[in-house]
This record gives sequence, C-alpha cells and structure tokens, in this order.
Amino acid sequence: MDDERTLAAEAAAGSRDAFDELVKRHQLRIYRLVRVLTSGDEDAEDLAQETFVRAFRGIARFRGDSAFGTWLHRIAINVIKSHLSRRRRRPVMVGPRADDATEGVIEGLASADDFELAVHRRQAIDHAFATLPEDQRALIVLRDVQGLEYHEIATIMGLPLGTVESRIFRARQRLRPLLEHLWVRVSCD
Amino acid sequence: MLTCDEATQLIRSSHHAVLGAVGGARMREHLEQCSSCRRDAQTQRLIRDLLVRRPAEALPSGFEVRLAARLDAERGLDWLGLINWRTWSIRLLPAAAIILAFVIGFGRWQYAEPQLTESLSRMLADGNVADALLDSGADGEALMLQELFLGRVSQANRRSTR
Repeated sequence: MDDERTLAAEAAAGSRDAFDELVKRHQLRIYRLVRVLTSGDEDAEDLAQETFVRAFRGIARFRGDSAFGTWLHRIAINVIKSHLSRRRRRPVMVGPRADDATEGVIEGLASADDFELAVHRRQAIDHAFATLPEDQRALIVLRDVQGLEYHEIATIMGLPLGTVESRIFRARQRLRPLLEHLWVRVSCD
Repeated sequence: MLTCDEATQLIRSSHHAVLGAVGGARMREHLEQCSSCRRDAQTQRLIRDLLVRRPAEALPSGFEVRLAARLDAERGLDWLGLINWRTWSIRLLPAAAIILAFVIGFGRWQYAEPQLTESLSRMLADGNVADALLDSGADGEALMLQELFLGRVSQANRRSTR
C-alpha cells in the first residue's frame, strides 16, 4: 500500500510512468466492476477506459486523503451511474449477455468443462445481481466482488457506514434463494 | 443472552469487526438457540463465499493497447494547455523576468556611453586632438573618432589634426 501511495504521489506530480503503473495494477478490477454493474453491457470496455481517462485528467488534484484504488473506484461508480442513467432513457432492452463471444475470457481454467462451469456460475451470479436494486447491487459488488472494506465503500458511495452494512446485509438475503444451488455445487468442488 | 435485534446487528457488522471473546461466546450461545438468526448468519457467510469466488473475467484482447492509445491521445491534448494564455503566462513569468534582466544588462554593456578617461577629456577640451589620439591607444582611438564624428570636438581642433 505504501508503494502505491508513493506511485500515486508521483503520478499526481506528473510522472507518466507512475500513472501507467497504477493503470496496470487496477485496470482488471475496474473493468470487472464495470462489467458487473452494467450487466455485461457492450460499452463496458469503453466505460472502463473512460474511468482511467478521467483519472488521468484529475490526477493532479489527487491529494492522497484516500487510497488511490478508493479514489479510482469512486470515479468508476460515477461513470457507471452516468451510463446507466443514459441507458434508462434509451428505449432499448439491455440485459446480461449469454453468448460466449462477448463473455470475456475467464483466466486460469484447465479445461473446456471448467470454462463452461465457470461461465455458468458467473452468469448465474450476474443474473442474480441484476435483480437487486441499484443501491444494493453496487454495494455488494464493491464488498464481495471487489473486496473493498466497508469504510472504503462508505467513502466511495458517500453513505454512512451503518447504511452500507444494512444494504449489504439485505442484498445477501435477497440473493440467497437465487444462488444457494451454486453453493451446493461449489461445496462439492 | 443476546436478543435477535442485537444478534442481527452483530451479524451485519461481524464481517468487518472482530468480536471479542465475550461477544463471540454470547453470539454462539444465541445462534445455538435461534434458528432464524442462525439462518441469517449462514446466509451472510454463504453468499459472501460464493461472490468472492465468482469466476473473474480477463481483460478483453487488446484492452491495454487501446487504453494506452487513449491515454496517449489525452497526453497529446495536454499540450493544448500551452496555448492557454493564463497557463502560459504564469508558467513563463519567472523565465521572462530573467531574460528581461539579461537583455537590459547586456544592452547597457553593448550600448554603454563611451567613457573617455579624464586626461583624454582634458586634452580634447584644450583642443589637443592630436596628442589625445596618440595617448588614447587603439580603444581610445575608436572613442576619439566617435567623439569627432559626433561633432563634440570643435572645428578648430579638427583642422589642427590634419
């Protein structure tokens, strides 16, 4: 973390290499966040890149009050919110995509069966996410998929800690009936 | 023993806070007695474990190259900041001050009023142009000629040098 703090300070001071290193460290996480929260929208890559472009434009203003990753996630959430807002105004049905071509390659799988199983599991989880209210979806993704701490999520979303806790609690309660069949399968793996 | 409300509150927060020995014991005691809270605790743990193990995407092929190109384009656009006159003037002010000081100083050195020595000035004033020329040396000669050219020496003195 100290290393990243140093990189962020150097990037804020104008170091191109430092910013590029930070991009390299965070691009997968941010891409994943965007993909999940936009339900695999075809614009996910563009939105993820937009996050880094905005981070680049604003890096001189980054003061290190929060971790760089937290700051970056806040930018990503704002980019996603704007996109979802525009998408709601468009009279087009957009939902989780099922075809493999746009699914995104899953890393580290030994076989085609593993790939198929992983895709199925991920689709089930993402479909379940899509049923959650937006406020709960973002929080549970930030916590359980992105691995952020509660206080970081509270900072990113501008919410009290207690609100974050209760929304994540309720989100998990809602997801159980949709996902518990996966748990049985996972526990047998 | 804990109430269900207290237990629920602890379940909500237990994933980021560590229960002390006493708190943990009281929670275990309650969960043994209360199937509803026990199910809630299990739900939180089960769903979290599932989501943490959600198969992760890899970056799409070419993502890094496209992102790098986009950031390079931003860096290129950053040069347009140079034609922002405010940015331009603030950034160059110190350099401009130094350059100006140098120009003024250099100019004074280059175009300094020729200074004749006291003795040469006296000779000129007395009309001894020829003696002044002999005494002045190469540099002084140039100054003398300039003085003559500028008409600072009387016509009578110029005639005397011929």
